Order: sequence, then structure tokens, then C-alpha cells
Amino acid sequence: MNYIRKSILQGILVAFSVVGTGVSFSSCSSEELDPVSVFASETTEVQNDFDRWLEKNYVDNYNIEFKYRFEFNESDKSYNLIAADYNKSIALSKLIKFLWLETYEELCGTDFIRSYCPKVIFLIGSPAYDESGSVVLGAAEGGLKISLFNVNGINTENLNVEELNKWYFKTMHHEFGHILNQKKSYPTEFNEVSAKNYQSESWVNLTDQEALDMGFVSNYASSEASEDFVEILSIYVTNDAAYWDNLVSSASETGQQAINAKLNIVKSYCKETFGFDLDNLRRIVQRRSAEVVDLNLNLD
Amino acid sequence: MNILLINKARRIFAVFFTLLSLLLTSLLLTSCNSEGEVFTESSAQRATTAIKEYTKILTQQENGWILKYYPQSAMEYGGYTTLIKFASDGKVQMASELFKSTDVLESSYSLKQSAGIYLTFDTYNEMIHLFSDPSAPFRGSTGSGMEGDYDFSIMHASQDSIVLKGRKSGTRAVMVPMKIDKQWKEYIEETNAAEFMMTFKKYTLDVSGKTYKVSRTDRNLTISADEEETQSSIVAHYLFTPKGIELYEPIEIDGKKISGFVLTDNDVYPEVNNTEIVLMPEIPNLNEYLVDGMWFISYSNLGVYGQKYWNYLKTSLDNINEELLFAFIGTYNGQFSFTFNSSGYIGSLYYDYFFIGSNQISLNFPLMADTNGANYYNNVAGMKSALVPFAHSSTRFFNLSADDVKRPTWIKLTDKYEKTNIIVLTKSIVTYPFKN
Repeated sequence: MNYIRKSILQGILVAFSVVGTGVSFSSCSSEELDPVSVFASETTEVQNDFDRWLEKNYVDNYNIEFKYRFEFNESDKSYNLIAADYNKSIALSKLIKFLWLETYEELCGTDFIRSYCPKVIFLIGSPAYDESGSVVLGAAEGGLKISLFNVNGINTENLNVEELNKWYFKTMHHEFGHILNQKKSYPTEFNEVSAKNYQSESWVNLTDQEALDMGFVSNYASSEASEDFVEILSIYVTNDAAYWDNLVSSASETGQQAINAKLNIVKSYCKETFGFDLDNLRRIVQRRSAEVVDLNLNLD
Repeated sequence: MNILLINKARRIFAVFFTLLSLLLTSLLLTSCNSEGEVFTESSAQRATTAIKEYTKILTQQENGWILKYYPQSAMEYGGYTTLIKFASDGKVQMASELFKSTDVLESSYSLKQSAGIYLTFDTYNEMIHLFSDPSAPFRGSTGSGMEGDYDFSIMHASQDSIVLKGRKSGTRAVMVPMKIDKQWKEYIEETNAAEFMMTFKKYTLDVSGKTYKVSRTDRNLTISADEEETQSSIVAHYLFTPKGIELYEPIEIDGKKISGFVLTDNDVYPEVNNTEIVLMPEIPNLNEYLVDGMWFISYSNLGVYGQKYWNYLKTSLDNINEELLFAFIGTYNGQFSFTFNSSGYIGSLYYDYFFIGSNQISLNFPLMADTNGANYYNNVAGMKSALVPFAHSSTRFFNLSADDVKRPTWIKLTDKYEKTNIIVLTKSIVTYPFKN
């Protein structure tokens, strides 16, 4: 026994001594920390006026990186996508600030929007064509990044608020709804209202009327409960009261009941979890949507 | 304990620890490069240095660069020329052979490190994004487009040339400097002229006396040996330059190298370096041109006789709240026909024809059509009238003439028996024929 222990001890000592000399061997590459930072001054991208404006209005205010230059690594590689037009990117950055960021600022204060807003907004020029033939409008990832598609489709000469809503703002409110839900979940009783009617991928096959009669504000809302929640929120807020009332009343009796029940849950979630009134949000969005025609969409 | 066992154990442990220490030593020694550093700078610094150098090379060319680019991994469309001038403020200006020769569009570019240095056109410029736009504005299908690139890794860059590799397609693109005194407008117009002069459907290729058949789709030539021999053929992708046809890479036929063909005005195009190799277009007869192509109709070019009948078409379409978007005579979906687009509905009414000589043709309507064509023929009274100037209840005989019988941009059909029936059809598309 002693012999074995001694051998083991010997062996360990040998190993350690080699390791010891090994340490001094490896220090021969004398790698000192380079005082020159590779992240600092040498940006390979040249800053232009738009970049400077974004620095002041997006980074300083909200800590949001507004990526208008296309980056392959930021994009969803399962689609064929192309870059956004420079001038349209400027227009969109101003529209987003006015119609979305400042709306929430007005509603809940700067700290609210700064804590919950996505940290990256990524612009893509083309739509993302899906195999099913439908087109992706926007994508939110884990609350950190929102991608907006079809920026090149914006007509800056003739602002069409309805088109803007369809392509961007309803999408942004929809995606922001996901972000809020990801931070704090909505009550599970919401899932129960339309539990039997969710369609998953077959949502594309429902017409608007069929969806309404089943208790959904859009056919996409019928795909699953989490989409249902944010569709209610975004459609409610990006249209006026008359539109919403008209939409709901065109549904069947049972459809109306389901929609109204779910709307109530959405409203109380906003109030109790985040302290804002959904109707207030709608009022602000609608007011700003009307004011947007006077907005200057250029850098100057 | 058994002494034999203990000794065995000692030996095993001794061997084990010797091996272990040898392993550790060798690992530690190799982790420390006693040969010395291969690079004096860190990899990140080398990237920054490379980017600065490439920026200098790109922006130093005062008259910009000629980008010769073949989109899509199989290069199925052939190659296209774009002129690009890079500025040090991150902006580019582009012109393209596919646009008006005076059009210049501005956008941005970046040089980035990402497993090599990438040149990327990262804000929208129609001239380069044409090749990758999934809405397929030029070629390809919706959702994929031409599957081209806007990100290129820089394989090699010097003052004389820049070799790029498309990130998506993996194909090689090359930029060469634009001559300092050459106007962009001129370069594009000369390139367009070469295309106009040299584009045909079929050619013959003569390689030192031996003849090959050549057919063309987009900017690709398929060269095949005579039918007697084996079925082998070569595909050569090409683009146009002011000088003629330039192949993506040289091909070899019968041991002879072919890198391009020179534009001449006698319809015989010699190889760039070897006059014993010539490409000769098979120039169709004028009546063959009419049948093989698509020749567009406009109201103003219908002649007195034709206009009388087309007035009925206009009335019929107005009555159903539709508008004629275009109409042509030619081959569509493999059928020679009268084809129309009424508010998005495309239909074809088929025609039979006979060639008489090289510039005469007879047209006959056999009461055959595709589904939409038949639908309109049966339900829209004016559609029958639309056919009358070309042929309806009886055969018509036309003499054909053109601005250039070898390369017509318009064809005039003169009815041999109805003196007032003279129709001019154009090669270029006419939209809203009733307004033009």
C-alpha cells in the first residue's frame, strides 16, 4: 500500500513539476494586453448626417440602435431580402419616433418606453415572401429586436396613413404587445375564451368574416392565443372607435361576446400590469395619426 | 498484500504518470509558439488595415469601376455591367446598362470584416438590388428573384482589378477601372449597341473549318457539335462590352481558346484573338421574325381600316369596365397568336400562318384559342372585330417590310388585297394601346 501511495505521489510530483515548467514555457509568448482598443475610434463605417441624427434622437433618448443599413447577419436567412432605401429609412425613422415612441412616452413617461422598447430596429427594403404565399410584415425577437419589412414600399410624397398602419404601425404595436407579454404574461383566462377555435397554420384559409364570427378580430388572430392578444391590442389602437365598433358588430352574436370578453382582459392587463389605459393609448395614436401629414420626413 | 501485485501496480502507475507528464509537456510546449509571431498585429487590427487599404483602392479610381457580374450560382441569366464610383463618405453612384444611359443612382456602401473583408451595398440601389430583389422586377420568380448578391467578399484588390466573390451565389465578379476619359453614358450606349447588333436566337460557330451549332437563352450560348457526333455541348455565359461579347471565362473547342467575339458591321464576329474562329448569326427572314417574336399593337399604328374595327373593341371593353393593357401578334406560350391583356386577364386567339418567300405571310384564324381567349371571343363582341384587320373569317395575305430586315424594330404589314389595311407593329412594348 505504501508503495502504491508513494508511486502515486511520485507521479503527481513529476506531473506538477512538468506543469510548473510548462507554465513558464507558455509565458514565453509574453502576450501583454494591447493598449490600442480595436472597438474604439476606428469605425470602418463613415458617419453621415442621418447617423448623427439617429445618435441624438434614438440612441441618446431611448437607447435604441436604428439599423437602416442592411446587414446579412441581422436578417432572417430563410428569406431573400434586400436593403432599404436611404431616404425612405429617414422618413420611417421620423414616423416611428412620432407615431410610436413618443406616443408611449406621452402615455407612460420616458422611463417606461426606455425600459420596454426593443433595443434594435432593423429595416429591410423588400417584403419577406413566405412559402404559403403570404408576406411577413414584421418580426420581434425576444423583446430585443424588431425587423420591419418592405421599407421601399413607402410613398413619401403621398403619405397614406392606412398603408403605413398596415405595414408598420399596426405591426409595431403588435410586436410591442409581444414584448410586453414576454416581460409580464397576461392572465391565462384569456386563453380559455376561444380555446376551441385556434387554427394554428390554417389561419390563412379563414376569411375576415369567418374569423369575426369565430370571435377573432382578424384571421391572423385565430392562429394562437398570444397572437390573438396582440392583434386585439394593435387593431384597437390603430383605428378609431367607430372602426372598432363597426368591426365587432359585424360579427355573429357569439363572435361579439368572445371579442368583448377578450378585450376586457386586454384592457385590465394594460391597466393593472403597466398602469395605462388602452383607450388613452388609442386617443393619442389617433391624434398623432392625423398630425402626421405635417411631419417633416427629411433630415433638415 | 501480494508483492507481485504491488510491483505491477507501481509499474502501471509509473507508466501512466510518465505518459501523462509527457502529454502535458507536449501540450504546454506547443501552446507556446517559440517560432515567433507570424503577424505583428492582431487579427482585428489587420482587418482595419485591410479595410483602409481597400477603401483607398476603391475611391482612388476617379472615373469609377466597371462591375462585371453574373448573378445566381449557376449564372443562368448570363452577365451584366454596372458602373460604380465609390466616394470616401460611404456613398456610391451607379449607372447600368439595364437603365437609361444617363441615369445615375446614389446609395451607400460599407466594407466589413466577417471571415474576410466584405464589400456590401447596404442601402437600396435599384441598379444593384435588381439582381437580388425577391419581387423579381427583371427575371426570376416572386419570392426569389434572380438570387443575386449585394454582399461580396474581396478576394483580391489592386489598382488594376478587384476580384469579388458573391456571398450567396459563390460566383466570381470582377471590377476593372473605367478609363479616365470615357463618359459613362457613352460606355453604356456602346454596350447596348453591341447587344442590339449581336443578339439572335441561333448562330453557327466556325472553328478553323469545323462548324458548330449555337443557340442562345438570356446571355448564355449553348454550343453543340453536329448531330452525327455525340450529344455533348458547352454552355458559355457572357456579357456585352462596347467591343462585343465577352465570356465569363474562356472555353476551349478543338483545342482552341475562345474568350469573346468582336462586334463588326458585316454580321461575322471573329474571336477576340483568333480570326479563324467566327460566330455568325442565323438571321431570320422577316416573316420568321414576325412569327418568332412579340410585335406590339397600338391604335395609332393600326391604319384607317384597322382603327374602324378596333373602335368596336374599345366600346365592348368600356361596357364591361375593362381596359386593354397590351396586345401583340407573335408567339406566346409556344403558340403563334393574337394575345391581349384586358385589365389583367391574358388570353390568346391562335393563328395559322404560311410563309411565302422571305417577306410575305398569310394569316388564318382557325377558331382556336386558350381558355381566356375563348371566353372573350364568345362574350365580348368587339374581340371578333379586333381580329378582322389581321384575319378573321377569311385568310389575309400581307407583304412585310421593316426599318431593317436584319434587325427590325418595327414591321409593317401591308394587306395585298385590302389597300387601306396597313398595320405597323413594334418590337418594344406598348401599354394601353388605345392611348398610344
